[in-house]
Amino acid sequence: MYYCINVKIIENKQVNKNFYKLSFKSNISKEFSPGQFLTIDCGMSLRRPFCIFNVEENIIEILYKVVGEGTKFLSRKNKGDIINIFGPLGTGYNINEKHSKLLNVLIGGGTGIAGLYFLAKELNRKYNASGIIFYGTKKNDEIINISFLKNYGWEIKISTEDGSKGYRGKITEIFKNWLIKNNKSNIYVYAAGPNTMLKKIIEISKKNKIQLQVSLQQIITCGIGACRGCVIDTINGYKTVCHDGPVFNGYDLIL
Amino acid sequence: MFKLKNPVLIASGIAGFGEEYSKIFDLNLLGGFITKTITLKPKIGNKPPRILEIENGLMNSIGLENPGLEIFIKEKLLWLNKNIKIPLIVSIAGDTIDEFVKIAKILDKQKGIFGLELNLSCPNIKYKTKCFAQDKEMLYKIVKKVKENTKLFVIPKLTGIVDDITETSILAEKAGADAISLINTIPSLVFLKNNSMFTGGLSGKCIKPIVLKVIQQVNKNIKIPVIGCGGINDFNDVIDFLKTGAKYVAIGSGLFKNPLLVKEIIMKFNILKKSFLNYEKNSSGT
Repeated sequence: MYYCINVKIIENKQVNKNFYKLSFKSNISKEFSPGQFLTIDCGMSLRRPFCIFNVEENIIEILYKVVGEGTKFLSRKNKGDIINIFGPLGTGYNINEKHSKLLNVLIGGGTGIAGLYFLAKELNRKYNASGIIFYGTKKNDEIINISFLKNYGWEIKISTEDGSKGYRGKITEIFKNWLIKNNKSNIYVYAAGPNTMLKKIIEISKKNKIQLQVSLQQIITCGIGACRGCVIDTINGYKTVCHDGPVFNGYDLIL
Repeated sequence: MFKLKNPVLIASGIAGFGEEYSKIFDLNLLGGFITKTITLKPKIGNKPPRILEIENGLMNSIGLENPGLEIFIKEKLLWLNKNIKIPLIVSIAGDTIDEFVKIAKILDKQKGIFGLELNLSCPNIKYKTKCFAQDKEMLYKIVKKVKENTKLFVIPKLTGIVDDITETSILAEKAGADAISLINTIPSLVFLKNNSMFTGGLSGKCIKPIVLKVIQQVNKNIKIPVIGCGGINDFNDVIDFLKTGAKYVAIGSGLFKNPLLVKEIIMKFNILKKSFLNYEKNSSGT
């Protein structure tokens, strides 16, 4: 079931240099699962897609980075303003008991962390599972505080490309080095971030025979799989990111 | 005569074969449903990226991705016939005149089809260096041959990129068209940040003034109804099209901004209609 509704903003807070957290109340909150997204009319020709960052009772939170006109428009909205949302959209992470028993490794680059936060909470709530979160950004001032997840047993490894916080280097390198050092088997990876990062993560995972699901970032047009505008190449032909994805089995993608 | 119960349609390609959008609103509110373009053989479409947003507009390069005529009949048409009670218009495209005729003949035998929209103007598919709607002789032949081989309504979809759109439209009417769709997305090119090029069909707000001028020009010279398409984003845009002479409108990329757009527009029409009827009833009583 899709909902295209107006909602009132409870909070639209700048959380660091470029990131904002926006929350609103809606009784459709229970319908979202991790990895799914909604779109918001940001005054442009196309709606902007946002992963669900957190769901708390009937409050939905999204996390976004101001990157262009659409997100700039959104960042100017205040508490009490009305926005039009459309969702839940897409196929989210496939989580089940079998996967959750493996060592869960979540890898989030930049805004990719948004959907993984919700996933980490749900893995814990549904299967009492936790694991390791690799969270990397370019610089210190782009990091979102996710330390709350430690309460659910998650170990958080932060890295920045310039070394201003946590490990220094690209998140893909940090993950690769960790794999080499720890020589662990029975790992299950969930990754989200820019496509170049995901391509690397898929490469590393394939090499180490690790199963993984990745969440793609893409321009969204219709949002429901009708117009075929957002397709991505897979071993099964073109698939829509908005409906077949945004979460795909990493082994299926041809990036 | 080509007649629909209300003037609002969805443009070909936007809503696929209906199933997805039927989960958002009742498609039977529409004046008619136009499918995504079908070709004889399946088409995988163009390599991504297929979409580019520009100021006040949208470019697409889908490349007519579709499952082909056989799967369309076996699966999509089955669903459409079960769920769509309004006139069904199937958009078709071929590489040759014979292909158009072949598809038309096969669809003519199927149940539940009202008309065929001939996609002669897709900016992302070329016959030689131009599209069929830019070649007067081919345009005339395709419309005429298709018309000779089907009892379904035939609606060629034309491009605005021709020397004289009036002449092209008159030609389509002479060839036997029952209505015409004006216009397809406009071939366009944009440079991206990395200096690569994106080419595709331009739609959205920025093309509306162009389409209105085309319709005004054509409408004076033909008798068949015009389905206007390009840049409709609200009820007032529809009114502009109708004022200019379009009998019907097909809504396209406006649905991406507001998935409920067509429903909202039709509701507004219905409210207006009701208040007019009420007014007439009340005034005739006095």
